[in-house]
Amino acid sequence: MRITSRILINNFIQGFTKNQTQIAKIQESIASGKRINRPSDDPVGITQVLSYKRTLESLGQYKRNIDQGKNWLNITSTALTNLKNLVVRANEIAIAQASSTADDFSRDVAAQEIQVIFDQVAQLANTKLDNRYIFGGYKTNTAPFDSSGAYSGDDGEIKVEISPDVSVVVNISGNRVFKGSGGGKDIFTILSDLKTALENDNSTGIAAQLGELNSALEQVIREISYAGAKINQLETTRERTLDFETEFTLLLSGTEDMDMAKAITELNAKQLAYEASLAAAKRVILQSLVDFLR
Amino acid sequence: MAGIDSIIQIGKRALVANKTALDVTSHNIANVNTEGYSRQRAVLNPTPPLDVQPGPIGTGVEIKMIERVYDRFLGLQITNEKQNLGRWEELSKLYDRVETTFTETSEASGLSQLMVDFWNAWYDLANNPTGQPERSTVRIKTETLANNLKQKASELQQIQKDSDSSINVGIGEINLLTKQIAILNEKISQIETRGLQANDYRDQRQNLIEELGHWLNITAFENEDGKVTILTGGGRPLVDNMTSWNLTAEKDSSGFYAVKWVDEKGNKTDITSSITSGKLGAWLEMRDTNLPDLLSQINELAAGLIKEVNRLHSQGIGLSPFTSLTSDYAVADPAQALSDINSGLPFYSEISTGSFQIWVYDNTGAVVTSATIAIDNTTTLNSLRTAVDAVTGITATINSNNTLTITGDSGNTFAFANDTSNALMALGLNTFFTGENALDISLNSVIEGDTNNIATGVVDPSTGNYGVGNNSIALSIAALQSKLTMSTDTVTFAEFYTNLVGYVGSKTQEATSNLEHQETIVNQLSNYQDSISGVSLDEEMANLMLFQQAYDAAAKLVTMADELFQTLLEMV
Repeated sequence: MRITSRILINNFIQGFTKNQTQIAKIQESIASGKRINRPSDDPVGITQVLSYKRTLESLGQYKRNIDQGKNWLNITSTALTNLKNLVVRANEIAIAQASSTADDFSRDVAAQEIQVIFDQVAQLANTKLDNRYIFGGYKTNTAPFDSSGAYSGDDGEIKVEISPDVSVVVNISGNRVFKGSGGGKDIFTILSDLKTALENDNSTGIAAQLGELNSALEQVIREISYAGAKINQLETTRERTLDFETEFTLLLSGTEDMDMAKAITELNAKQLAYEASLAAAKRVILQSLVDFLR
Repeated sequence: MAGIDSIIQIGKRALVANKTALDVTSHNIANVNTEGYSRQRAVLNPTPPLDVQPGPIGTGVEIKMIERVYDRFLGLQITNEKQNLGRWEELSKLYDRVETTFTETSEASGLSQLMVDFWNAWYDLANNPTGQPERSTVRIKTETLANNLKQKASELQQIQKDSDSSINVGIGEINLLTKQIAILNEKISQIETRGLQANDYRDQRQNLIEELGHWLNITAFENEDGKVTILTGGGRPLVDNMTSWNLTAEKDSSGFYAVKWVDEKGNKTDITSSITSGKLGAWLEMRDTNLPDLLSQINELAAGLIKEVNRLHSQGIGLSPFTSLTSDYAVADPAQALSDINSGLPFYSEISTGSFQIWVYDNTGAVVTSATIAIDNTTTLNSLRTAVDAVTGITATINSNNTLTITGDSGNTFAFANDTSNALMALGLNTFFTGENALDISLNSVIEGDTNNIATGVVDPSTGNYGVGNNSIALSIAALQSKLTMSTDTVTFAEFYTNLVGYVGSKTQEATSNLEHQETIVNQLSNYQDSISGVSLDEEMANLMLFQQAYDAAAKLVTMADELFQTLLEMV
């Protein structure tokens, strides 16, 4: 093939443009730390990267959902534990006052204490989390119990999604735990009946509430363990979510991140080729017969 | 036997011939860097000998012709490859722009991320339906998402418009080229009918033909008389003999330029569909096929979001029922069935036989009444109005712009529930989004005005009761992200979009690698052509020496002949 200086220059320009493009690309990757800087860098890789990023964001959100659910259940559990203590206390009073050693005076004092317990129970039944009443079902914006213990909430179940398509109910209906709807005991009625019996110095009446209080205690304890079980479920899910997070972070990094050692080695190799092409061009292109005539 | 003057004649011819050869060499050296220049060669020939005793005696040298060293078939091949080069150059440039629109790698600004933010905002709202910050966040995230979709769609439209105006500019260039080629046809023919070679004009013409191929698909062939005929798509001539035909760009009903071929009488023929390569072909392909395809996908995504979110939202209730509500989508004709294609409703096809509930409350919040409104394929806006108006405690009217307004009487409020017909969603009653595609997707003004209207819960369909802590609608909307809602229920919204990004990536990659490939082909052909036609300075320098020496020697001949004459004269 006949070679002209134009061919030499063309080849040189083509070669060094290519080298420069490749160097720029590696440099971009090193600067950003990412192997994929635009969709065309790796069309399949970018869909994976987006999918992993999306999953990580969702996992973060599920963690927030779980924490929110745990807040509900924790405050519910605390309120119910206090309720349990109050019922236990009422039970102790009832046992003490049911005995023959109790007299009219001690029962009057006890009646007052039961009234205080009643008010405390009513207060617990109106427990709030972030300005929301937790025992009112869906009616979170109005106090579900009045001072007489009448319920104005509903049976709404508030759910939290803790993983895709898995949601758990995080509220406990005040109607069920305080008012015994669905075959349980109405704690307010028991307390006010007990108080009436104490005021009336009615030993049989007092004794009659003992059994009721025991059932009520069981009812409260059942709900506490229900809340505890839910908290456990949420914690297990949270841990699994964290595991997934670690796994997807690794996957994302493996797909998206640049292998620095490899990139820098590659950059060095390209740079060497680039410099060599410049050196060769200097020697070949600049020489012609003109240099040797005369 | 010839006289001494024949030596002078031979010397003179040799001087002229070598001088001409030197001219040709100088011309070559001068044009060493001229694009498309083919080196020329003086073809030396002995002049006819004198047929005298003792045998034919040579009479010297002449320049037979000045030859252009050129491979015609290589020229044709380059013209062909330039058409593909032009196409990939422009496709690659345009896809680079498209890709920028879909670059998702920057944190926080990509559509993929914005969609996740949107769904997460709904989860946060589900976790606290009465929270004002959560409600504002849903609003802000929705607006950001809608704006991004709009921005993407309008960027794609902008690229489409730019391709379109490039077509108009390109046609101007093409007309200029064909005119010049026709003029060169004439010049070449004038020179060559005199038996000469129009070398430089041929180089110029070949350059212009290659340039023309860069713009659009052409077939060029040389006739026996040396003139070139050029045809473009559909066999329409652009150049024949000394005539050139113009192309013209005219806006058609779609608002885009159609490429038309103009005949000698000024009649125009649309040849848009037969332009398949060159820059013009690339612009047409992008404008008419590739960009509409991407636009339709992004529109499909937006329409899917609008549809699915609205379907759930329209059956829910915000923090309080409505005192008055106007439908978002207008119908074309209130007497037309809502589910008819001509109803004017963008989501008319979603309407099916079914019903929805309206619950009416008095100013204390107590239930006044409820009604179940039946919907089927004969329901019109008129009949719907009548049915809604008949419900105690509310009034329904049709506005001048063919929307429906429902108002509670004397402080009454109302809410919707349990829509099995999708009529609420299709009419835009109690909906979240407004619009029908990526260009007009927005937050419904009812929600923009008051975020308490974001539906999070539902009305109990048997009692009409509702509680603000109900988060079932918010949860369902948030859960849409993992539902198979797109591409006939095979992928999620996010997967649909991710696939689109991957598709744009692979198209861009394809354009880039095809461009590189095409550049290599054209470069190799050019190198090949250069090895035949290109000027080599080394070679020219050698020739320079050769012809210079010959010229010197020829001059010596004349001097020597003169001396011979002197010798003769001295004899006298």
